[in-house]
Amino acid sequence: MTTPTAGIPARRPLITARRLSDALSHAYIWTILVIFVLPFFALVGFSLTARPGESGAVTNYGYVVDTFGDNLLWSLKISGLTLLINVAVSLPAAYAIVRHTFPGKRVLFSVLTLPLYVPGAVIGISLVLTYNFTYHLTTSMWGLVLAMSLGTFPLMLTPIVVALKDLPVIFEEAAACLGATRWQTYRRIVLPLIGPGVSAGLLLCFIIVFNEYLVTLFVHPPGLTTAPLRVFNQIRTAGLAPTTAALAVTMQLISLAAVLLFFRLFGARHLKGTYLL
Amino acid sequence: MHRSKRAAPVWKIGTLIFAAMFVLGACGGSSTPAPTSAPSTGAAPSTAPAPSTAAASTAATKHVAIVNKDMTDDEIKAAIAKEGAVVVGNWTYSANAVLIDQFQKYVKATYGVDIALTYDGSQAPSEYLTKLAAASKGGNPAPYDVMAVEENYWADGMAQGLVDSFLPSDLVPNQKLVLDQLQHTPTSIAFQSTSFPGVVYNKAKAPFITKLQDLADPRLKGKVTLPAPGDITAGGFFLGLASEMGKDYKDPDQMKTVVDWAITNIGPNVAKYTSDQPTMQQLFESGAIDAFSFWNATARLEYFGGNKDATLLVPSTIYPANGYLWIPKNAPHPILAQVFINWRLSPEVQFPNDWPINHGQWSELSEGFLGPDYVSHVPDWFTADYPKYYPTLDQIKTQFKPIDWDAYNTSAKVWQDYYGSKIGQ
Amino acid sequence: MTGDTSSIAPLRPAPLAVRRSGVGVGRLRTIALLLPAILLALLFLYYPLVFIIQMSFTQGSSFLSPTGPITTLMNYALVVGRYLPNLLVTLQLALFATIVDLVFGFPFAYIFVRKVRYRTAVRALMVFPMFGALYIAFGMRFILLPGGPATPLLQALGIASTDALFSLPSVVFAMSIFTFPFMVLNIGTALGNVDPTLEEAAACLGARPWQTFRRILLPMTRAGTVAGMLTVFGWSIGTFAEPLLLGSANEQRALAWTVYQRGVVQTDYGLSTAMGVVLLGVAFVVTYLSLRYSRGALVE
Repeated sequence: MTTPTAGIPARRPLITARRLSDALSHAYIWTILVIFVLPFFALVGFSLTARPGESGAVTNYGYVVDTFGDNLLWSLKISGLTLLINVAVSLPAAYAIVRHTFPGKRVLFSVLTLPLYVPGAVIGISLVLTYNFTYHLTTSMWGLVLAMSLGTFPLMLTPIVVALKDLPVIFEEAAACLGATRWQTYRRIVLPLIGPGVSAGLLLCFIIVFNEYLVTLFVHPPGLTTAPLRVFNQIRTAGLAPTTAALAVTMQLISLAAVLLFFRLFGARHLKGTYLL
Repeated sequence: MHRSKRAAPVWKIGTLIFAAMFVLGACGGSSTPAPTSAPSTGAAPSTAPAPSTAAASTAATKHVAIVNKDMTDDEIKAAIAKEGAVVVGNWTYSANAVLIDQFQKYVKATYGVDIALTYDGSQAPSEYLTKLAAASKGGNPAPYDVMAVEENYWADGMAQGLVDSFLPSDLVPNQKLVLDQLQHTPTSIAFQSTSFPGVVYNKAKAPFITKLQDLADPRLKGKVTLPAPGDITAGGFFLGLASEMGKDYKDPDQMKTVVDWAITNIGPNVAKYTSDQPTMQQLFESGAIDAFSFWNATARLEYFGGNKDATLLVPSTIYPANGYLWIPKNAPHPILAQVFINWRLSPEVQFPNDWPINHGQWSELSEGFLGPDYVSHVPDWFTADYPKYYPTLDQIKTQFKPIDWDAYNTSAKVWQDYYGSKIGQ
Repeated sequence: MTGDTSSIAPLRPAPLAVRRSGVGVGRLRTIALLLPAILLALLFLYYPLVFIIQMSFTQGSSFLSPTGPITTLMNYALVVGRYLPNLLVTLQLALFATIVDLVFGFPFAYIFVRKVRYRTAVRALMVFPMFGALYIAFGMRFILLPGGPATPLLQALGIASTDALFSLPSVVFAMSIFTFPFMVLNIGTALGNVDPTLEEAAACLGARPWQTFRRILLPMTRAGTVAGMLTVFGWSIGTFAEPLLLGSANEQRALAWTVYQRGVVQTDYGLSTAMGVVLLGVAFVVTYLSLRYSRGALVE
């Protein structure tokens, strides 16, 4: 009597097409990531070198710790406020663009995403003029926050539009049929399902704003120097020294820490699903 | 279904906490807790209310410029306390924190007042002028109290009517220590005496460089950088080259021939047209280039960075573009501005030997003798090598030629543009 | 079952999730939803743009001078004349960066969404270049200059370090790795909505991976792909750090750098704002046309 399992190998071979493709896939990801991080490690190496006449690597970082804290707090504050404004602005706008019908949608979308494409120097100059001539916002932190928000809200808007676009309308219609109000539908159905879009937008906006220095150069009130502006200025003045490299490394590490913290807060159970981002 | 039916509240709570943190922070943000941030909202300052002439019989008064009052020491202290902050526009030093700390300590020791110094650094000083001009046209107070940038920007500021007069002032007695050639009374006074564009080259690899025109040597193919067109860095290089070639920098047509010569002869040797110091330094230190054109201070930085072969080529005629201190019109804190200027000019600050900084940072902050009283302050560890990187007082007096800034600005607009067009900018 | 219907909630007419616009409340709601975004853009870009446009018709720095502005059309003449190559280089760089990001980003997004479990690590490392183009440049210089790890390879190939460092590939590389997350996160968002069972079904029905990609994945992720490409392209035409730091004389012509050079360093506000306006115009046209010709992929 032949066994019904005849023809099926007793053990799966070590190298299958599936395993190979998996391995290659992961290798692809890791190769790219390593390339991305390589410049950082080059900087780290340099920052740890000691210049002659100095006591070495630790002092390089010692200089950094001194007053960097203030700049950092400002950066975090500004970034946080900008994110709030961006979300508040983008969520309703994305919904209107995707779900509502009105003429001139494409023009409107182009108009709304334009701020992202404007060179920083142009935004800077235009806002210096406007803040001085009309809005008188030169000494307030809000001038900086709104400038950051303007420059990055398209980055928030676009992924949310993408997420909404592919969300079948049927969910909302079903909720409506079951008696949910518009707001309930939005809060309990739409919002969770566009989570990936929102989180993508939050991440991108945060990083850009946290590390932005060009527009900041123009519109920051005196006394409010954000960390990247400080780093940019210092690198330009002091040139290439281990101390400035230490500053650059610290800035990147802090950005990384902020990003990871960000994931901690927003990446919990809810977004760790099978194919949610 | 693939997704959880109920949204986990964790991220909602996270958002709420985040948001609360920032809103609370923002509410407290307009009056910042950190000592290095200026709390001023830019309102025009009021000085000591009562004129002090009546009380002059008991206390000696000082004539304070800009506010144009004779004030006793007590009144000055009160005024400083009221101002509470001062904003300086300068390039950023790596020892910024130390500088700020030292000044704040000085004010505390001398006037007994806690104030906040803000150092607003920028590597594009013309951005300061944009902000000043915009504020002035918009009827707002100036965003800076003290400008400490290159002389040509002072000239631009003058042309745009942005500069206030403050010299002589009893709050700036150190003015007497500074050579006349380094002052533009009543509007500005130099805090640098030795800043000129030059060429830094590797003496071991290119010992044949003795003048600027040697950059055209075919042995230097691909081993040189020249400044990018547009600002005084490129301007200074071409001024030096023009004087070597016997051309007049005030004549745009002659300068165009100088530019042509440079592009034709040095052009093939140029690895990159850049005014970015870190780029030049990285290229130089790795050996990819053997010479670059930039400010002379870089030679010192390289030297202290361990590159003992880095040598400064001094042009035959030195056209310095030194940093000058001036006060913009409608500065919010004019009294502290003068106090700062006086402090910056003092020998102990020009030669910060007692500060907790390393030699590299010392060489960033120390910019030469402003007058005879400064000569004795050269620290012991540098006495031997000092003359290699800093000119002597005699050299400053005799070799440094002043630039006619108005003529330069007019002429440079033409030939800088020409230079730019030649390299596609 | 009693006839008591008091416990059943009265059925309200079901509000449609998709509104048909045209009358009263619907239109108002649309406007209300769009208002914050429109206000933000209006107050902080388009109104300031009025100043920019005014400036672009003035000469040099005369707009802010005490003697008042001098009107001229020279700036625009210069932009389309002398600076046309600059505009073309800008577009070229942006286009290359977009293509590189698309080609490398799509597979990355796919693998990321479908196969990767250690998402946080990937996301964190992927955004590293976004921390600063300056740092990318530093790092690349370390790697490519003499004394760096790539030197033996470069010498073997007979390429001078500075030629390799300051070149078109260098700039495009740096630009692509900076904007990589823009592409990946947009495509990933779209891919997230694609049911993996569809791909499995296709495989069961005998489709090869390439066919699945072309006929299932690509059409279904159109929104994300278009969004990614637009974002990368738009961002790339406005960036100046990479062309400045890593470009040869040709790439340094990127318009964003010229704008900075002229506007910030030389205070030639007239010329730089004219360039800014032209760049904006180009960005607008590209965005609009992409939306139009992507057949409703992103916006109808």
